[in-house]
Amino acid sequence: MMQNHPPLEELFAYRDGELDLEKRSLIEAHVLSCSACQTRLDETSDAEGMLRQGLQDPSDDYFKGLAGSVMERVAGDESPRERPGRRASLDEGPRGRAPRLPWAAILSAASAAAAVGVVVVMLVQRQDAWHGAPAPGVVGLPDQTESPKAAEGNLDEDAPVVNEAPANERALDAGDLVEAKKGDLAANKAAAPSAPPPAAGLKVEQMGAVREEEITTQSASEALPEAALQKAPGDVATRVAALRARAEAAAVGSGPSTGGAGFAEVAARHGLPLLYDPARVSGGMLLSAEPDLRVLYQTGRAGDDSARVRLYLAEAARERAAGSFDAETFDSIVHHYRRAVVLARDVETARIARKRLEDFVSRNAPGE
Amino acid sequence: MTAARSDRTQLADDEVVRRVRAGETDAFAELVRRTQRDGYRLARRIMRQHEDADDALQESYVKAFRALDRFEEGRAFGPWFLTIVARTALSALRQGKRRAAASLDGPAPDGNVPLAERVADPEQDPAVLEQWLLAERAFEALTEEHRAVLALRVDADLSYADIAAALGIPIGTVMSRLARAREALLEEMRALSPKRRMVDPR
Repeated sequence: MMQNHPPLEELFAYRDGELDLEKRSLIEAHVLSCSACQTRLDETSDAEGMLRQGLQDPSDDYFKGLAGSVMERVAGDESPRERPGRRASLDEGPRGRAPRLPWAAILSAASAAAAVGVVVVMLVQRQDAWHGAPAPGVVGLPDQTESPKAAEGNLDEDAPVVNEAPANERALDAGDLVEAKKGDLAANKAAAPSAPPPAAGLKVEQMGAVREEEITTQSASEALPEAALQKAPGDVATRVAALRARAEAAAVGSGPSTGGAGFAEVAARHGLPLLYDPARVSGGMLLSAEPDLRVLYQTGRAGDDSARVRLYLAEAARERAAGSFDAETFDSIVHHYRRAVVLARDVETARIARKRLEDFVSRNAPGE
Repeated sequence: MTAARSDRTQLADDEVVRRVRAGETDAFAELVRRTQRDGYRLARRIMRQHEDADDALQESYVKAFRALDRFEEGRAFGPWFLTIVARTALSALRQGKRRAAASLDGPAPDGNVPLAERVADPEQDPAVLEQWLLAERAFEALTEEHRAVLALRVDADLSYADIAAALGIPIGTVMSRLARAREALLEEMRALSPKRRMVDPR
């Protein structure tokens, strides 16, 4: 049994979405049938979820003052190369001495942790459908030992290594962060321009079944409406509607714990549902809401609704680009989606963001 | 001024970078605002102390500012900046530019309440806090090398390629180091919490 487990680094690389298609299929085949490896991935994800939630932030004053401090240091920096990395006095500006205890964040971590638990369980799932056109440069093969431009002793060099990844590679990476459930897997397989190999498709479906079971056991508070989901596995719309209703109810009930009425207010002002829904949101609504959403995002007032704001920003950018993307726009949209998945406080938001990301990439990935 | 600033908040990172390069130096503040929370988290994870994280973060911004002419258009500014933060923080660690590490239970020099005290707060759900504290303690117990690679993956959410660039190591090494770090984290968590059931599948 033991010799059948993939090396841990490959197992984790699989989870991180850093394997190429072939390798991924191999690992996936194993993970599907190996509860030990699933447990290993879940435990790791749980621990990392706690770490992600737990880090204490300094006070908001610290962040308000930071840009000012930095600008003082770079002011008049006409010949950057001549100035060594000398420390300017750091006395100016707030220094984060007045702590804002992140109880809100920790508490929401309670529910978020549950969500994270669910989300990460699903991380092991792979979606081959939208990886139909794998980027040649997908990273992560263990034998890939290309040396980055930065050498160990070079850490202090001012010039950071620029790591250029082609847009489609970045997108693959983004997609691998996200999770899938059976319903949308089916939907995606139907919609994807390039279908996965039959074997992979079967695996994915099996996994969907396994995963949904686990979701219920993982987290009662985040339990999905299993009956609806299982009765109509093919009826994506029904499933989505059920999930969405639940997610919205949750959002209205709890509300953002930071940033006050920020997002809810903006959403209401522009007639947007709290969670993006293509059927209820027009392009015009997106464009009219975009400036307000941007302000929320950039001022940090999105708070616990960051993921939903990000999701809307991605949608608005798509709308604005109207199907014609330069690399920059493409990247930025992918990034918004990706952050939405990562920052999501509830499963449904993560799911929709992931789904929309896939949709976006499958329609717009370079070379397609 | 106000108009210009609010206008900037609407711009893509690339455009802000372009403006800074074109001499609109104060537009750099917008880039700071966009990246400061992610940058802080990463620096804090690596440096542990608020003051050290603050130093490293500010230093990183100065470096980024000076290296901005080499920032490649079309690239996302955030990950690029985070690799600078990582390298700056790690370099500072190696040069001993760090205040004495405080224990999680000791007084926090930045004025934050020690973790142990927070756990004692009756208003908090003890189970959640316990889990959180467990993870934090386990993370604290890791080697610097393991903490750094985990921070880059978990907190900064960087790809293996970006992590490789930030650490100056090959991607293959990122993979193996990350795997060891994750194992070490779970190992520490088990050690710290014997009653917590953690299945070792192997």
